[in-house]
Amino acid sequence: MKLPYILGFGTALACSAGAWAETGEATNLYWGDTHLHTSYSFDAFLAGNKTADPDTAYRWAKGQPVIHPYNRTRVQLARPLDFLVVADHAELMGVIRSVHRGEAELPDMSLWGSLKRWVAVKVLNSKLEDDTAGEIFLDLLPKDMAVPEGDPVQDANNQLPGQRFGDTRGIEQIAWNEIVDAAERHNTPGSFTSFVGWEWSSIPTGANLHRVVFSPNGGDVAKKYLPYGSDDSQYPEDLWTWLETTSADTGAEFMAIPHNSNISKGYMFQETTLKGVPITADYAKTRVRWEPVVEITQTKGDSETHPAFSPDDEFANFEHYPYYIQNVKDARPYEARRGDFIRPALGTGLKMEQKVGTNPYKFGVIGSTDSHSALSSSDEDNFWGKMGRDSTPESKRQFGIGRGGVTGWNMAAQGLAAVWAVENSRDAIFAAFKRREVYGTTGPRMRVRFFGGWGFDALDEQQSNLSEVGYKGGVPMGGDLTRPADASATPQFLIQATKDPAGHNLDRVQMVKGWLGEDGEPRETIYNVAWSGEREIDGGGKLPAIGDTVDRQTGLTLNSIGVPELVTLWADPDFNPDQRAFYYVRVLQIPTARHSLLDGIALQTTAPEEGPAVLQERAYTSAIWYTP
Amino acid sequence: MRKLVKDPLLQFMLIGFLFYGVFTLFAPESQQANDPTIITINDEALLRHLQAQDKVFDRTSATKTLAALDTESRTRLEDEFIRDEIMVREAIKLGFDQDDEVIRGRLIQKMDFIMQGFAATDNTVTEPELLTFFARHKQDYRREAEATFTHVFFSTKTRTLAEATSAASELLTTLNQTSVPFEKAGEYGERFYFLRNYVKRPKRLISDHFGPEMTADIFTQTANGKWAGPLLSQYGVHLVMVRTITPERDPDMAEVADQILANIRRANSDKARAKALQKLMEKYTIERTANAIELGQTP
Repeated sequence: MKLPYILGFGTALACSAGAWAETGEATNLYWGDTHLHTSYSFDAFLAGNKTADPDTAYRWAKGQPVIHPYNRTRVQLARPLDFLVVADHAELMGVIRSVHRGEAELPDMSLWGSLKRWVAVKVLNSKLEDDTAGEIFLDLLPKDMAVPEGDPVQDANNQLPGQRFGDTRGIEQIAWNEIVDAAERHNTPGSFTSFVGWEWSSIPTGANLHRVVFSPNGGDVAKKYLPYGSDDSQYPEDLWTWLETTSADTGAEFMAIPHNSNISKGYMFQETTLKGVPITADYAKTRVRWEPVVEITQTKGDSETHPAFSPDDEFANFEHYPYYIQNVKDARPYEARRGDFIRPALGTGLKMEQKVGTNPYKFGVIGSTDSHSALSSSDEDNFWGKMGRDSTPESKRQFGIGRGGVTGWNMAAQGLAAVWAVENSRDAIFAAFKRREVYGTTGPRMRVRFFGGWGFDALDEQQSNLSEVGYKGGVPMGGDLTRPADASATPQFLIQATKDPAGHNLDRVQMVKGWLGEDGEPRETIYNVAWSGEREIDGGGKLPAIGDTVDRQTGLTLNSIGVPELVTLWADPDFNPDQRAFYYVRVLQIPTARHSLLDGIALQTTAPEEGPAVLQERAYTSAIWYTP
Repeated sequence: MRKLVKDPLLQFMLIGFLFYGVFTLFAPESQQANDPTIITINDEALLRHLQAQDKVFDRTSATKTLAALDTESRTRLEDEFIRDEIMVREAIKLGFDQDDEVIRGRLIQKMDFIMQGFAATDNTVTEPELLTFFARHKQDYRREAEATFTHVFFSTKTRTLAEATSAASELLTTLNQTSVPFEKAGEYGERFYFLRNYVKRPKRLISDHFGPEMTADIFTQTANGKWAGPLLSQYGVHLVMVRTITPERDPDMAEVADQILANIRRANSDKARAKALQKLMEKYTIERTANAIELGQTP
């Protein structure tokens, strides 16, 4: 862990000559997905992905045509990704697949246990044959808590998934080795990077605490351990301890990425630990060491913020997914909580830092898909669903029966991880994650540069070495600013946002600022800092909406509004050098068709009611923090 | 009485009764099945009906549902089943199943599925097979054309196209007269939205950035160390220096071996299925009869 931190910038300088050849810049932009499931995940297999394995995932990511695991069409990603983490669930990793294929050598059990298992295998196989295997997944769903607000792990209703198949570690070891081998086969530094990883799927009483864990090390190191799952422990502290020990024992490096905080019932970013104990400096240090980046957007919704906590943000009501992963019988309805969202969490982080001296939530952000079909697809017009089954317009309507009325149209076609790295390799990308020089988008490949500093010159908009100016005069996204010698100085931010080369124009660039008020509570303000056209900010500080050029009959968007690029140098007009603050950039694209509208057109019906017909895709950068 | 018992006629009759009894006891259904006017209702039949109706084939939960039905609901379910059964039998009697495309499609689908199972072949592929397959399907593995070039950009955001073009043409002369090299491109023109240098970038990506027309122009340039242009994109005017153009090419087999292997396996399984179909076809004689209608004429 220590090495990449220091090496990160060391390598950045050492290798910059190589990077210059391509872009003339110190870092290059790479696109990827850190959260992808294949047929080795039990829920993916049960929901129609019986054939798309890690190999398929990598071939798709590299732009090769592959067979869709459920609807058997030939599918292809028009623009390849630069890197990919295959992250299957650690729990029952590869087990359902191998039981179904009859390859599993199941361990000895008692006579009664064997009988029950025999029935379980029969039921499983018959359900897989007649395509009702999703019901098994429903059986495995957790029950809502008996006592809200308590420690969900200790709740009377919490239960670990039963060990119906006995001790399956042998099968999981085989599956893990296959996953690692696939990653090794597809890693080609310079053009495509694969990472080994898995998902720790802790979900006590439906509070989603999932983390993707990934490692930059090769197969020889990865095969020395077996992924740590929530069947080992449901407490994140235990996961971090395991990462620490395993790292020391094997030399492996790790990072854990929390995701779907939006459905964590307020437990992801609390002011206490999961056990309800106040956060200490030690806890904060451990957490921020292992979890320097979180997922801000993915298929199961956007976690940036919620109108309940950002009432003045007219873009806050975006791709919400108000459905817990739990058995809906007797369950309480969805309720947005502060601990569920990233912007409030960044504020809570400042508050905790004031209190204990370390900010547990000083994290960068990325987007990823969490797709379970092995196809990382975040394009509205090339979206292959969350699971295998909800991959066609007709099957999206039926998806998730018994799961609180969720359909495939409640799913969002997002997101992507953008990384500013020195080169396309495991070490360079991992180092960029460590220093939080990463950002997330909801699918389009918008290029966003973001630097903070004190002494930038008035900007020449046509200046061609903008990033050089940024690196020289300030810190990039993910970095820190602290009180300058000149007491009257104001922090400046250099921002450059460019549209997706093959996508649509940009509407506006916004600066989201959060700070700690006099009362020690977090506050937020949104500034429009650059926009297209001749619009003017009104008395209430709002910029009028850009309009909408989406043809509802074809789903096509005319690029007649917006601009390809927005560049600005912005200084904080409300800066108070005594207040802790964070700043991050949000870039909005012009409105385009949502996948549900495209399906509606294809089905010749009205656009499905789940979600709006059009949406404004966006990019969120990692923050830059100011600490007095 | 003893006399009576010894009566062959009575003995014969008794044996006859016994036979009848045994027959009705042990083969009641087969007899009824032959009678198209008898409909048998039992739990088994209702269970099947219930599952087909819900399109959920889960026997356990269907059994539970059936057991929980009150008399009224069960009667309704039975009536439904009887109605369906009568409709199906009458339709078959009238031959409606004969030329129905939906039914044909469903039958074909079922048969195809079964044949797929039969056709599961062994997965070993030899190296000569790999070579032959690659040679025969080379076009499927073609590698996209690539280019390495740099460019100097004149935006049309702040000036007209004519102004941008004349500024570019003027600079072109200077660049070539003073032999400005590839790596000094950044000192001229304006910042472009995307990349400055494109190193071994595929044609598809270049087309995303510059549009198809300018991309076609780039790929017709010669790599002679000279600046060329002006070329036109949707964003403005460009001067380019091309270092290499790699046309579309066939890769070495080692580069694509994994892909070929997967495709051979797929091709083999398709072949096995075709073979299974061929075997079935051998049982049939295809007769071509005189055409009743002449093609090309409206009937």
